[in-house]
Amino acid sequence: MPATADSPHVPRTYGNWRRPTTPGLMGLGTAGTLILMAGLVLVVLVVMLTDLLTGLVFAAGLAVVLLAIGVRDKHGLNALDKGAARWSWWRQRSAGEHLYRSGPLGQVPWGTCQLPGLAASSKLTEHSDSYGRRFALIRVPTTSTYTLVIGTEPDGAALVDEEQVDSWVADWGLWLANLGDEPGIVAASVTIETAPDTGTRLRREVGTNLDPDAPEFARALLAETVADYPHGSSTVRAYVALTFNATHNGRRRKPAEFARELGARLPGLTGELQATGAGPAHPVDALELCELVRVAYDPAAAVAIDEAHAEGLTTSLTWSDVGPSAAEASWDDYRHDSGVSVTWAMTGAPRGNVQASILSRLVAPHRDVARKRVTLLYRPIDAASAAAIVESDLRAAQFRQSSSDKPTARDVLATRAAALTAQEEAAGAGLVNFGMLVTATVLDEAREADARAAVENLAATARLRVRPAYGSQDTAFAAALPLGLVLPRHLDLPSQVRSRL
Amino acid sequence: MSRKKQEGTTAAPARPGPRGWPGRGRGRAGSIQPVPEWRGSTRQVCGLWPFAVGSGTPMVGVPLGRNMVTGATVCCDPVSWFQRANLISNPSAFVLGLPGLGKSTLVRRMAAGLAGYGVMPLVLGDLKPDYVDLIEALGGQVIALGGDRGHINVLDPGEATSAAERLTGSARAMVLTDAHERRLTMVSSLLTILRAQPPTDREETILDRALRVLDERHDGVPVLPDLLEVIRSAPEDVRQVALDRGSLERYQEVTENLEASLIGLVDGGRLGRTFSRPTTNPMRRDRPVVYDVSHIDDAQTDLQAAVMLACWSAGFGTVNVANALADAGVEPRRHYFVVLDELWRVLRAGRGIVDRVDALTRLNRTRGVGTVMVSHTMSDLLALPAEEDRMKARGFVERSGMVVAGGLPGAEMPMLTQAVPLSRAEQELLIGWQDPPAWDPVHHRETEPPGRGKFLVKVGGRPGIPVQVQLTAVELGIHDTNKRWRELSRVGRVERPAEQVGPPGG
Repeated sequence: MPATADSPHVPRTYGNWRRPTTPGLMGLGTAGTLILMAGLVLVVLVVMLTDLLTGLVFAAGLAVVLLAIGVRDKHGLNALDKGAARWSWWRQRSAGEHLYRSGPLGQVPWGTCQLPGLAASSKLTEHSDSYGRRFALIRVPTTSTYTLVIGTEPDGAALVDEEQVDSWVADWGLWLANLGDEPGIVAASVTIETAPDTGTRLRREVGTNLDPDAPEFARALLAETVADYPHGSSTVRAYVALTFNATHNGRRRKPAEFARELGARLPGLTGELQATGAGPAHPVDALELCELVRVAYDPAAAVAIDEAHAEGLTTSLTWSDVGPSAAEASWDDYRHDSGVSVTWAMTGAPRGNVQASILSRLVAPHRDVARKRVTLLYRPIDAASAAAIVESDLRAAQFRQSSSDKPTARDVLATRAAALTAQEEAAGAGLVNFGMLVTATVLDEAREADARAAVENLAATARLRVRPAYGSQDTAFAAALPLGLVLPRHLDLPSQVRSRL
Repeated sequence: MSRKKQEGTTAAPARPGPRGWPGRGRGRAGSIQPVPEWRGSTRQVCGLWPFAVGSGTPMVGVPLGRNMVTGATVCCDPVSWFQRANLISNPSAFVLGLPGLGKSTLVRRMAAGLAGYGVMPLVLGDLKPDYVDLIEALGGQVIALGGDRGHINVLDPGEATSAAERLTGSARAMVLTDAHERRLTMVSSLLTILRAQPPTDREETILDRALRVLDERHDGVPVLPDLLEVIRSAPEDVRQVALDRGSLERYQEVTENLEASLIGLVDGGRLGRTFSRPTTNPMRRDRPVVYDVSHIDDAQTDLQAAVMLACWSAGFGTVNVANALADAGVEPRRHYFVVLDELWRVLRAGRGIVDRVDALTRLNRTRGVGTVMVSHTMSDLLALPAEEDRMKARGFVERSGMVVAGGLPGAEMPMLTQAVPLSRAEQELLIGWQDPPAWDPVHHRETEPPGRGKFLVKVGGRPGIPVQVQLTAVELGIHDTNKRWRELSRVGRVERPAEQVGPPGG
């Protein structure tokens, strides 16, 4: 965009996102408040029926329960959450299920290197869209969803005027809003993956184009660039995964049937994505997806795969080859084939107002982290229920503010934010739930500490609060891949109930 | 450890459960902690915009250096980006930047790399010389012109004759026609430069016919004196087109001016004898070639212009021959990479040149020729006397498939953004690159200029790619544009034994 000399550009800021809460007293959710009420009634009854001491003991018990629910640390976790994580980790570990040994000599019944955990039952099919491009479709039967992955190459905002960035960001907002209108959409995720350049691409470029009769000087020059250039350089790739409901009008659709319908919509989805600054977008085909997942679990395989491409070969990986042949989850990291990964979950979105460049340092390549994936998880709320949700959010916030004589500044702001969101929703914006996962992978175990420090610093530059996904590193790792695993759908305790505590 | 026994007794499930295979070593997911979710309207959530970092460019072309933002290797040259990557609409590049920031180095890298990819660099007129050592290193032809160093015969059809023998039918006719027209155009151009006005249509017809007569009569490669001889001898064919009405006197009257001008060309007028002698070093189509015209003094603008035109004529003649041979399937396809360095000096050299360059930029796609033009600034380029020439010169930048800009002063930006859209950030980057380096008074050593070797590759309206060119040891061995500054200057008194200068005073 050509620069104009008139009026200086005022940077646009964004913010106003909030944790979904339910109305309740003293920082408790609806369920917590109900427990409090019922408990108080019980205490009164106990005091009436027995003596005061029993009543006090009972009240103390109630207080402990309420504290476990109501007192949250800076990550928003209460004692119940943490206790549940500890317990289920202990259970998984004592059952030996934190280990994964696949392949013909492994423990898995099928004898293949399929994906572990939540993705074990996933299936991959390939179809063509209406432009004739091949695209992969992942089916997760557990949650009965289909996932489509779109690969993009962002232009980056480094040398672009703010006006252009603003327009890209506005289009991104529009794209997110349109997601809510996509029939059957469940979730969307954007994964920005940075990986070291193996140098194979450059070697291939020079190797395949070198003229056998080329002058000696030119050969020497090109050979030297191939030897010197790739060190330390990195590649950035972006993937957008869209997850759809397999059931439609109460009927479960077959992959071919669903793909036919999706194939017609896909050119529109990729086309709109290009206006958001995501750059040229193309649907990811089955082989590319297999290679991407394989490399995520076995980073050392990247070199072999790149070399195969360099020689013009295809890798012929299938969905049953892409999982790790050995993996071991621990409390705070995850070893898988040739890599060690740590996955963080965002526990605090940037507070206050931020500019659109807030994530740029987090997603950019970092020399201490060999491979890094930053995954933004979106769950669009369909336009029909969005209105009700913003209204109830507003009511909840107002209730919180008015439940105390002296409302905290935070409560006042929360009410204002909820009111603004309700206004924007009414004016046509969509409503979306979002979360973020950051995975750092290192090949050398000794570098893990560096990678941890690096990611935590990067998260701080993005004003994010992050916490390693303690006790569920394996699941979090898989969720950060563009596989379409929608964690809230896999929970034992539905998220609606959790959020009410 | 092993659960083989248990597997036998309890029926193993045929499908994994919702969380994977249950059992030791089967990686069933344990606790699923939901990712904490936040909620907002899409007008706000879009502010956490994930695409702030660019993925870089496809790795196609000659490796140039490192992307200054992402650190990735940047590969870029107009031929590969046009031919294989389909990133640009025509195989041309325009390089702009202040002197001393490495424009020639960048172009030399492209040329050397392309030579490695089987594309022949042709430097048709090196005024500095910046490319002679490179072409020598590439085992190419260095053709020196100007003064007694070398001659270029404008009537030499080059390799067209030998190529025509290997071709048949229309291909053969095409090569011969092209060679003929090329010679005619060249003679007219020389006359234009000599007279400062183009020859009349009648004179052009006479020349055309005389050249045909010359081809019939002459054995071997003719030179300009032979052409003069033909016109003087007044053959029937030429007399016909000269409309002499049967009178030899009238013929001589008509051809007098032409004869005079040709004598000027043959006997060493302003243009010397450069064009009237047999070609000293015929150009070959299977080698990198540089025409070294650096020995022509800058003051001789006419000669410079004429020599440049002759180089281009010879160069494109060779390209056409190679194309005709490849079209006929006789020889492999050859692509050429034509370098027009110091374009502003070339354009300044005289009228007619702008049009030739213009024709070149419009045809490079069909000719199988990649071009790179190099100039300092837009103002240099636009400092032409005629308005239409200025418009055309701006068109060179506008029509280039890619524009590669180095450090440029702020005053350039309005002109440059008219030709290629640059964002403010890009403009600031370019302006920053022309700043002087910080000097270091303690160590008496200047740091590297901030803009040296830094370029911004712009393709249309897409964000530019900032690249830092990294030289290889191989190149450092031969590249030195500041050769004459490497040694300290010394007074170096000259001993003159004959006339002893006595002590002053007395």
